[in-house]
Amino acid sequence: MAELYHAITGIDRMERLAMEDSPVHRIHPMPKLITTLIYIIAVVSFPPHNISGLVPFVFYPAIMMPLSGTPYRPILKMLLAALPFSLMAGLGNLLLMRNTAFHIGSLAVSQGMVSFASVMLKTMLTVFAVLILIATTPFIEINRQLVAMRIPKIFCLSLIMTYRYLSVLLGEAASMFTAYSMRAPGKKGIVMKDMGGFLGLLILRSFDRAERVYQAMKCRGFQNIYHGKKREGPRWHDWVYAVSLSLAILILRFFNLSLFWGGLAG
Amino acid sequence: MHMADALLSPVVGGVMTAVSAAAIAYSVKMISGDKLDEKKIPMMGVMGAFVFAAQMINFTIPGTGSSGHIGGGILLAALLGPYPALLTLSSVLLIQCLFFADGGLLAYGCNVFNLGVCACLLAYPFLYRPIMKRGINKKNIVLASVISVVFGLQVGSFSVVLETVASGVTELPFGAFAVLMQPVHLVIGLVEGLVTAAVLCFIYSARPEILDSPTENVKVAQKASMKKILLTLLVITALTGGVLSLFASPLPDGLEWSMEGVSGVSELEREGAVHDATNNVVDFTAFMPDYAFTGDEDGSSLGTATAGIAGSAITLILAGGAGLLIHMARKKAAPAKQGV
Repeated sequence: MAELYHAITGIDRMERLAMEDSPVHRIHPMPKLITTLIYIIAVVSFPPHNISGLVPFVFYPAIMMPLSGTPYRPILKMLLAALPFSLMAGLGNLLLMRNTAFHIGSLAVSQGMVSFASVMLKTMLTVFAVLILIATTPFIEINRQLVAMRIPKIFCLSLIMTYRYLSVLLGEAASMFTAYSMRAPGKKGIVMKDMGGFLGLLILRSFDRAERVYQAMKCRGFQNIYHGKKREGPRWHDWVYAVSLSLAILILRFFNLSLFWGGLAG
Repeated sequence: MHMADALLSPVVGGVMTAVSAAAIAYSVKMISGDKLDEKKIPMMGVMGAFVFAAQMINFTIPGTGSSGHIGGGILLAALLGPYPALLTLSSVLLIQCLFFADGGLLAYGCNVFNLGVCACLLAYPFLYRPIMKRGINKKNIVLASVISVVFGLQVGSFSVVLETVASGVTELPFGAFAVLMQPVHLVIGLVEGLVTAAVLCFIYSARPEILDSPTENVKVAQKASMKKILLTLLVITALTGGVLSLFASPLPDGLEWSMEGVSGVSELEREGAVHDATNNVVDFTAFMPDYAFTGDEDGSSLGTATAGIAGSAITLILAGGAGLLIHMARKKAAPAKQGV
């Protein structure tokens, strides 16, 4: 099943990207997490008619992507996968809001078109922000920050374990599916009446695997304590990054840079 | 059904994040303290990975030529119990959001509520467990699975409609959106319910001991009733402030109506330095005069809803603060009495 294999390679690719080295990779995870959240909230808070004010936010991915050395292609592929839901909502507005917002020359631009553009731009910017965070920060570091933020340890531990066992379970499901396909040629997916047995078997194997994992953890002294290499906190230049980026986001949120430049040029 | 950030407003995202965070904290509290809680961690991790894999496995629906996949909320709850199931689903949703851009970071709270809380904390304890208490057999498993999955998906998809409409991004009217979402998710729920029933019946035949017992944790529920009440109140407050306020009547209330009848005005204008000073304070502090955003003269429904939620939150904070002050004052007074 193509999706299963794509998921395995997708996780592996992001993990490799996060292990690279660049100025962005060297920033402490906590300021990166905070600035990503501030960026997303700022983008999402724009009213639907304000496209020009939103456009300067493109600076963030435009600068961070080359600075971190993250390749565009895999990120853009993931972005495409995220668009359909927003596309449908945006299309709804396109069809419902027919009154004219403004004219570009002789072309009448409807409010629906403006709203559609706003939804698509917001989707792209927010997805880019999250993918840049993940491509420059190993997931174990993000998890460590969640623990530092006093998020319950049991949640953080199960999160990191889910992440670790994703590729194992995906591989198991993929080999089970291959075995099924060889016994049911010509079928696209799994026939519904076989799902009970298929998923049931996968569950039983998962339960047995979880039992073995628990025994292995106990044999190595697991005592429900979150162990991790002591990582130093953010340094002064990490906070300079966070504060200056947050200020820039706030300024761009309330000061329309596009209109300013357009006014100067006009 | 994963919501994206672009369709939400920060207020709705923030409120749902708070609701989901409360639900997750409550689930953690219910699991912790159990002497087997450390064993649950690898179980939740591996089952989370299982749900992830299971969601990628498409099955063909006979007679339609289309395919689908399961969500997994009720399935997880029937295997692990409602609280580990919610934590597991929350982990899966976070990984999907971060690594696969399936659902936004701001929308994470909404997605946890729509896909996790509705199935694990609403449908499972109130529908699945009571049916299974009548007797653990295949007939009850099928009935319980289908009913709880359908209910969970209906409530979840309705929440998507409410959250999207409350955010004000889409122009689709509430009624039309609901009519689009609910029937589709009814069909999806029926199919997923049947698949969940098939899986659980298989497990029941092969290894019935791993199914979650419907009579477990009864004594813990009594201990935690205060938390349930608080959580329910929080959710009701947010929903009331956010949703019911949209239907608040713009007509004058009883007092304004009587004043109009008697004096011809619905509000009295007062002169004097004290009134001017207090009016200035009110104008400064009221960021939502007349329950709408400033400059929004006709009072948009989003303004009213936001004012509703914000007003509720402020009220809760003030009430909590007042209670704390009284508690501290009484504590100070109490030692003096003991000496007598």
